[in-house]
Amino acid sequence: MSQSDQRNAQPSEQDVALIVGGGPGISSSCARLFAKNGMRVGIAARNADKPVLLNLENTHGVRRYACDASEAGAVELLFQNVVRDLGTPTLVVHNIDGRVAGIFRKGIIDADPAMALDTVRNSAFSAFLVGQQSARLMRENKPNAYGAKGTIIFTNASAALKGFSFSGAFAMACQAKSGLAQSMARELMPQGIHVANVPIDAAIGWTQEDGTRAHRLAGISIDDNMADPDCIAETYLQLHRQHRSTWAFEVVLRPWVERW
Amino acid sequence: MKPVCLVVGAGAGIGGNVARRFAQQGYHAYLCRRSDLDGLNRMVDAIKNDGGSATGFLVNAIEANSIEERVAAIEADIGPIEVVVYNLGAQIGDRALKDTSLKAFETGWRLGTFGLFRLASAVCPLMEARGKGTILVTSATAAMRGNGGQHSHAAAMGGRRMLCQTLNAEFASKGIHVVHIVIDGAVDAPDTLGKMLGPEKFQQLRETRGNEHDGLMLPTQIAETYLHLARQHRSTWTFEIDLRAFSDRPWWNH
Repeated sequence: MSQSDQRNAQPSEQDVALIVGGGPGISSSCARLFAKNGMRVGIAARNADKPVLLNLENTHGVRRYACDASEAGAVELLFQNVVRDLGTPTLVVHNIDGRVAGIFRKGIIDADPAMALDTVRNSAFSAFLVGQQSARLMRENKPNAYGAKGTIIFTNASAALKGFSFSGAFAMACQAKSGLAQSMARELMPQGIHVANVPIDAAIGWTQEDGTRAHRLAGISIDDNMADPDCIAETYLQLHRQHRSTWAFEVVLRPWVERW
Repeated sequence: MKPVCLVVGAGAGIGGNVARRFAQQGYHAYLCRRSDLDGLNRMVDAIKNDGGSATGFLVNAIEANSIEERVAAIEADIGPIEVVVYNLGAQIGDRALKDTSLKAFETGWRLGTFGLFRLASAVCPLMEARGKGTILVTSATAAMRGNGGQHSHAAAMGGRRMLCQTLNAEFASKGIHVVHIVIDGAVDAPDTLGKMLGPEKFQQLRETRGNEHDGLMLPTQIAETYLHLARQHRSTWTFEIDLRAFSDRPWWNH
């Protein structure tokens, strides 16, 4: 047995988690789970006054930040504020889908170029900005019980794995995000910062007020045929707790009945 | 009756540590390995001393019916096999094509691919009837990338990966979670890496890359991820995961 086997493997109480991109799905599930595990949690969204975020503040003490993550200055300011309020992040989740409303189901002939660019800016470019700020701060962290200075997790999508028809802008955005994640992993992992790309290859059904799990377009989840964001969050937490001798880079999550 | 975690290939590395971790979680760990009865008994005793329950059995996976008989005996005598860990390696080091014998290639395939096929043939009907089960398959860099000198190993592991995919395609929707786990680096395992290098070189490697450097993958830590995978909710399963030490270069970046 090596010395590192003996290390205390309990999560650090000093963990500070920042989730960029906030809504009712993965981000809320992560915020709740991270808070329950003793982390100080911040969540950033364009509109930080959404009821779902206010609810997280009330029930789990999650700190809300308004931020347009596609703006370099705004992201820099976000991280300054988080450091001031909560401390330097040890876990950052980039959780922005990035598609603008008018780009859905648009073929290459009809897709509006400005909307395509906005989609890439919102998704991949914001991932770059968030990743950059995270790396600048985390490299100064002291290694935790798992030997890590921090964890950066990129939520990704099926489009990271294959280009679907009528989804060119999103395919560009997601594959760009994958490339960024790979590059960052190669650069940062040897410096002690864990980078993970997590394509969610499914519709995500989150728990509604009536207790069912549902997706806005795909309807109600039956027999766990949609990804449960509470379960996705469990895997994010496990990634954060992996020991540095044994880090995963890419984890695809999909429901048991999903075809692929 | 405790659910059983069957580990095929239970050495002092990933297999033994996964068995131990699952035993801590209330499984009956059933450890199979080909040789070294003393080493096997030590692992079983360690689990029992830890308050867990475990059985050890010497099994030559290449022999006809060996795996099939074990599965039948466990189901009859111990309990339902809920988790299977297929952890047989087939690494024989780098060998040029002219130095890779037909026998070596065939043995690699028997351990790497065919043994998993036989194990799946034995356990999948049982798991399907129960509507649940987990098959965790340890794999290697060679499943993703055919590096020089890896003729036998890469073919065996590439076959293993594709078999995992077709098993998943048939059985995921029947409640069986199949996971292909890419161990993309050297594991701090005395029974495999240690034997391949010999004690002196292994100790040297531990000193330069292992120990406090954490550059050798720690099987106790790998076991944590195996446990997490077995616990994933069926709405959110992972089929494939890659693991390596933070300081190692990943297979996709060579």
